[in-house]
Amino acid sequence: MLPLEGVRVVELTTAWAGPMAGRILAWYGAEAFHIESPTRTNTWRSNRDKPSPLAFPDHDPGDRPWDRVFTFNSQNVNKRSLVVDLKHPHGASVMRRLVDASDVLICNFRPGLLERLGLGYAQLAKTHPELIVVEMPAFGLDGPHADYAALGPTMEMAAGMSAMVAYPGGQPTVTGPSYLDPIGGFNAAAAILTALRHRERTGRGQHIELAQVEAAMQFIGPELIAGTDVAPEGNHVADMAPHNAYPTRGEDEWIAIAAEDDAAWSRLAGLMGQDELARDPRFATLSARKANEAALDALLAEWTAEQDKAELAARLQEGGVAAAAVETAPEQAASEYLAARGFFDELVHAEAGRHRHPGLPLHSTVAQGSQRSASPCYGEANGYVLREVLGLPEEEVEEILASGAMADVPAPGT
Amino acid sequence: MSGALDGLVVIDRSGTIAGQYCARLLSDFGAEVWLAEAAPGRPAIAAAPPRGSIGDIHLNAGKRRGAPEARPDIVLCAPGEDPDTLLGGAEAPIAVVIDGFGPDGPRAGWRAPEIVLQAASGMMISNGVRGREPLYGTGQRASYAAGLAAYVQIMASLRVRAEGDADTWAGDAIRVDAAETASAMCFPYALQAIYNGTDRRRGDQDIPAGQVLCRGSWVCLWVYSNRFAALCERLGLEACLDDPRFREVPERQKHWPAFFALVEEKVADRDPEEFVAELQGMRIIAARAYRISELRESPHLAARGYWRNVTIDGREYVLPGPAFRLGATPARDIGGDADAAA
Repeated sequence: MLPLEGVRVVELTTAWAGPMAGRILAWYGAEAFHIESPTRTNTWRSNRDKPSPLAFPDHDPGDRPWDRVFTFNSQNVNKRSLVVDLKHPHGASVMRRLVDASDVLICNFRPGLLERLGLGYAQLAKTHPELIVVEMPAFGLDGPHADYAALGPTMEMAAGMSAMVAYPGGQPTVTGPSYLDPIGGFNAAAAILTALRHRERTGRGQHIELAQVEAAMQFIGPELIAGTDVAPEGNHVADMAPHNAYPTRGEDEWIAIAAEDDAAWSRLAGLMGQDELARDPRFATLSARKANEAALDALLAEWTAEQDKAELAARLQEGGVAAAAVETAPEQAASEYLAARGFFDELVHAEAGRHRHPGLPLHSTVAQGSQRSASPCYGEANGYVLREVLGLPEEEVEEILASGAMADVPAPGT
Repeated sequence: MSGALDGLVVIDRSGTIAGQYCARLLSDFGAEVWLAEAAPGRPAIAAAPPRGSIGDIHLNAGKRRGAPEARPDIVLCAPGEDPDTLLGGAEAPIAVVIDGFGPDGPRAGWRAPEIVLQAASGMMISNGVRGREPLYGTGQRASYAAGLAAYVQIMASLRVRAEGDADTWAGDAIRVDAAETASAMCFPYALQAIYNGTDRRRGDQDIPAGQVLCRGSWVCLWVYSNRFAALCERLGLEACLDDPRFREVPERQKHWPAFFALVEEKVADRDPEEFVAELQGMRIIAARAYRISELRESPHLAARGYWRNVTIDGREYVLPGPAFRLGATPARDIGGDADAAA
């Protein structure tokens, strides 16, 4: 039995952070419904611009590109899709009844949306006190920036991280390129699971506020407590040298190498076939290596330049030196390490076909989650929700489906 | 007000940032966490900060040092420990090991400092400027993310324990790799590669984003196609609307750097806070690249009561607020005599 079997999740989300939260709950067996709009498509399904063929299997958008795009299909595994116009009376009614029949409501839109839809926690809790509602605005529900919209990269800027990642004297860098989105999703899942534990013991649900920027700031807690600005130095750090990425054979191919202490540096010098470097006064101690870091980097770069990054990384690790190839996405997809961890599952998608899907890094002997079904096609669960979840009579189902409140094809231009 | 995790007893002998962050979350939400000495030796992933350091304050304020009288519900083991040795019997704990590349598989035992984890994850190749070395992300984020992932798995495990038959519960062994976690946090280019072989590199920019330097601070902005004209008109860049480099989306995607250079000319003397507010008012997503000192003085964070002013062992600290706010079971206060860990 999966840990969250019997838990129903309604996910009013878009893009990455919110869907990642629902994905984690669905991984553990929750029945998760991704709510979508007929007129404002999830930006990870499509947007107003002409889609790039790079987003689709075999570069082919097909007849239903919104069902074939890698972004959406990566984050909505195990879920169902309900497409409903929440401004339509029938749509609003369906949504309210679905929430009343659910355990968790996730929202990653700006503050106030749930209230405007009649789905604010205070309203819902009057009749459904067991419900857990998580709102995950970038900057929180109040404060001068509460209404600011955000994406992963802008959250990284606002969280103070980007200003610490840069080439010396350069501009701030966003990483990943949207690293804070999945972090927000994991934080939301952590909060929901915590609230579920409280509900197990008390029978009571609760409201959760996840300000994604604030949650991410935990990751730079020591810097925040110190309170002083950090001057970026590229990949250099105070306590290791060498510590950088060095070019290897091929275009834009790199290896990361870090000598964690003097002994590791000595081993590295030996693997370079230049034992004398370990005794060289310019490099013999950490402080000396830091003082001569440009020369040190140049030596390393010259040595790595014509070598294969993966073979070199393996040889360095075998010799007791921390190193890894700077891997590309195709290399991740082919990673023997990730395969050995059971990271990939082959899933069949009705429109996108059969592919291996990257999973989640969560491993347990008794509470293991899994990837069981590919991401849903747009609106594939409309009828299921009306008939099976809400148990509506067929005449009402037909009335709702004929009303225009639901759809299985996005409106043109959305 | 009680905590969601009240009654849970945790031993944290991880000796790593990842393990201690996981236990910090458990402590924040009500668990009784006991900090114990880790096994000697340098772990493969980032080691716990020295006692009394700022890192120690951040990770361990709120924990106790020593050993609990009660049997633990959760034990955060050191990397290399075999959690299975703790299992068996109705009172077996949930045993958690967070490692770098794990105890088996093709990279078993690999050293895993932060830059190595980020390089191996597929994330680092996206960072920085094509032609220069890729940049790793600041701090020990792979360790923190692994600690967060372990927390999630612990919550799932507790649910199974609560719903199961107590007589048959024999514990749970949780294994989280920081390397696998870092891969899971990557933009889903791996699935794109599986779909069609795309090998995306830095400089392959098709996102409508850029940075401009305002007065003393960088601002990042995203200009979706439906807001492009409005931005041009607001900044007096109407000529861009007819400029063949920017007129149509496909050409614009090739010339974002040139466009943002024009934007920067217009806003170089602007107050960054005001510029961001103006953009947000136009429904253009934007943010300022705050420095640490600016965050500490942020009116927004102050208005939200984000910072926790605490006194530990007679010293005053300003700590970040909790990761999330639970309405009915908020994070507990820290500081004071009970929080001797720091």
